[in-house]
Amino acid sequence: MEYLWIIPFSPLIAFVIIGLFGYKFLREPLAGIVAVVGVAISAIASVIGFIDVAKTGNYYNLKLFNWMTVGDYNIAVSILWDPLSALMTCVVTCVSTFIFIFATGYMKGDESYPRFFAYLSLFVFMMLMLTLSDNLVQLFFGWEGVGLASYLLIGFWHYKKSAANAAMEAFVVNRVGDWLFLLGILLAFVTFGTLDYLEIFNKIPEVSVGIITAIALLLFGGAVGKSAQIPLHIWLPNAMEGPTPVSALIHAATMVAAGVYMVARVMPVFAASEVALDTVLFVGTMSAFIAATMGLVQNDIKRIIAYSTLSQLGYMFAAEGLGLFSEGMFHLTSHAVFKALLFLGSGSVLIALHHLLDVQKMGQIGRAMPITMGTFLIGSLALAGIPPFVGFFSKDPIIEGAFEINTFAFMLLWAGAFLTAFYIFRLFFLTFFSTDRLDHHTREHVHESPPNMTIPLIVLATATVVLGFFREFFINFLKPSLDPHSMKFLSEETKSIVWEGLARSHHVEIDADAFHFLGHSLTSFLGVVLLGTALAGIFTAYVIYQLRKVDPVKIGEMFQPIYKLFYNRWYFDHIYYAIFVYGYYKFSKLLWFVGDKMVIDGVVDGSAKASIFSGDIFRKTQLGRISGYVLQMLIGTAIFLALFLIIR
Amino acid sequence: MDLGVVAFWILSAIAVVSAFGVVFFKNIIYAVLSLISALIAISGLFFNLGAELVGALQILIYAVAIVVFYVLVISTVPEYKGEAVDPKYALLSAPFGFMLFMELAFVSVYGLWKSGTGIFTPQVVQEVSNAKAVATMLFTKYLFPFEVASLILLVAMIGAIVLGKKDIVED
Amino acid sequence: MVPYEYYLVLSGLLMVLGFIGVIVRKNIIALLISTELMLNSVNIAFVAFDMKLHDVAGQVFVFFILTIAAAEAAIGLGLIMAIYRMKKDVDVTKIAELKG
Repeated sequence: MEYLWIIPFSPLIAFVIIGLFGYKFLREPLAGIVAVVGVAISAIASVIGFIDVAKTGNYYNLKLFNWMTVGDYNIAVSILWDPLSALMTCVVTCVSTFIFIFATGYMKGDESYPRFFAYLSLFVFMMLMLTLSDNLVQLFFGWEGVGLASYLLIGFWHYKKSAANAAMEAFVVNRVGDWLFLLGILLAFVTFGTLDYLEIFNKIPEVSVGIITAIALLLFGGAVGKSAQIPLHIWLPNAMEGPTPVSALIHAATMVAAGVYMVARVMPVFAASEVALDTVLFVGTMSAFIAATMGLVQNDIKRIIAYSTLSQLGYMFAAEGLGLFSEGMFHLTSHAVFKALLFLGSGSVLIALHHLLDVQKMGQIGRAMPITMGTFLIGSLALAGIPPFVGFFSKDPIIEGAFEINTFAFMLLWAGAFLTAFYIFRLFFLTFFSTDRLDHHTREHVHESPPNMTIPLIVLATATVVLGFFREFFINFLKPSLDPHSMKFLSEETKSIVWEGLARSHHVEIDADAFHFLGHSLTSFLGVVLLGTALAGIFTAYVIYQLRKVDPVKIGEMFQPIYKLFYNRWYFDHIYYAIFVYGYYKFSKLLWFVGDKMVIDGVVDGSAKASIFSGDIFRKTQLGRISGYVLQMLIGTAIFLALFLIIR
Repeated sequence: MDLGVVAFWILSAIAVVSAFGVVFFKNIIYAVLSLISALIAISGLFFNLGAELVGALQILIYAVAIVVFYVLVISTVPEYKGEAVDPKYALLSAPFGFMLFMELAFVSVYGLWKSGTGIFTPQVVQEVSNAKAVATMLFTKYLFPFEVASLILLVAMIGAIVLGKKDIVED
Repeated sequence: MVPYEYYLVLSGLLMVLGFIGVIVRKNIIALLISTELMLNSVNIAFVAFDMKLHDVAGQVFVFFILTIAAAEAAIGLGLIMAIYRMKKDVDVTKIAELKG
């Protein structure tokens, strides 16, 4: 398995090459090709490794080289290759490959073309460091690295003020989460004396539940920031200021899923603490519902999909909180595929419409761009949870599991499912059908995108259709990493603790086999209700936005307070602005007045005044007359000699 | 009474009285003449102590060469008409001067002086003569300072010439 | 023989007189003359120590002091000449440019 080191370092090499020679020698097409080749190599290597793990179910722990030594603990740059990291790595590299190919078309003609691909390659390297890590320090390195890449890419068009601000906001909000995450790592190190996952897992039985809970909650704080969950979600919608491939890759498919991956990675720690699992469940369900309501009333095509990302990440966390870690990871995989598809579809639309973002100004462009429309429809159906698309096989089990375990979570997730179906088809109808609201000039230029953009769409759409039927394969594949009884690297004690920790999900029986699950959904009451909910959401959107039977403006006026609440995003931004920005401003002003003006200026001015005052006194001793100085010398000599004689 | 003791008392009395003259004579010419008197008395004290070379140099250099400088300058600068002594400073300096003198005298009389540890005992000096003893030291152990002293004299000479040139100052 | 301590006391007296001379006189030439007095008091002390300690190093230093005194007199008087040419005066109370 030594070849695994290629996976992270191939994008790194691409990054270095593009970074050094991008503008001088490579320029437009070559820089993109280098990046695509770099990530494709790592995709191939990771697929080979994936197949190996799928065959054997083994795990491999490679220490590449020593990074640093803390006391008697060596932090190594290493690769932990087990089903979980193999799956995540494959998702990252494969989705990245298609998005890179798409980006070569999307970024055509941009003057910073090489820089874009350098950043993208850097991002993939950092993301792989994160996924492949076998310890929390390397994970944190990747974690911060993707944060940096995200910052650079959101602010890619840095001359736009909104983009620069969004990048800054993303960085600052992530800092809050990362601060908690770092505290969690430090606490884990103090508690366990090591940061390697496998060693931590086997030391869990020695540590009290309280400390485990604290560690888990602090780590989860980092996940909340990185995965944009409530209450640290505000940066993600604004992050859509970046180029669309970035939104697809970083802010939908991979980086924001890092939090979900991290929680699954340290699953035994979370499973050992009931409070931590409950917190994950609560935050996940709240995010799933609230983000869906926010998505209902947005008009920016990318922001709608961004809120849907928040919502779907909430579903993943909810699954993990319910103890259904495999379902969460499967939803992560399927979401990465169909959300990348949706984002790339919207990117294709944006190229056709010259970066027009407002869905209220689009309409009837489906005929001009059939491939985009068809693939976007597939993605939307998958998001809405309609069989046989992958979203159905990954999202419905979570809601069904919630029904068995926690009624509160079920209600929110169920409502979220309806809203999801509604807002994505609202977007779909408004964009591709409905009435023609485009201005004349743009209408003339609507065209289908070039092949290097449509091919990734078609590939991802195919994956969206097919992947769901591999449900059983994925669930079984993940067992050696997420099912306590199949986890080879756990000690017996830890296994029993984790097993007890996941007790809440023991009575849930969800068919792993895709066809059985489909049959079950179509026959059981719950399955029919869920399916009906999704169809109802689609139908409502159809009635309102396609048939125009009901005027959406009137509905908005009817439910004025709720509409306003949703439209203003539950006032999260306003509250944060009021508390943090304005409060910080006030606090700074106070500090400026008290600290700067009174204390520091007081000290500085005071010392000047003191020296002027004392100078005024001592000035008088400067007689300017030689005799005077000599007299002072005489007095001084006499006195000091006297002192010397007396003391002696 | 030993002749040396008598000489000491007479010479020191002259030196002190002359010193008072230096300090308090209003006319600067008198002050310079008092200085010559003091210098000669001091050189007499040197002879009395047995330091013939230094005593001779004292007369040659001080009483002749340096005092001639002063006389030259005094003859250039017009007579000073103001009062000789600033009474305010005199009042202030007198007690502290007295205090310093008492301290110095105390240290001189009651200080713990070593005695007779050098190699130039009176017998040796008697044998080789004082001038030879001093010269031996001067040209062996203190040769480098000696050369430096000559350099200082050279620099002082050049400096005095430069300072004394009229046109440069008038610039 | 007179005890060497007497010479030291005489040296101290001359030193203090020279000190007072520098302080109280207003004629700048008198200041310089008083300085010569102080130098000579040091000479006495050096020679007295020499005789007491059976050494000649002090006399060597007297030699150096004579040298420095000559240099000092040359420079000091040169400065006095320069000052006089600028100020047309030799009164130290008038030469007080650095008065605070």
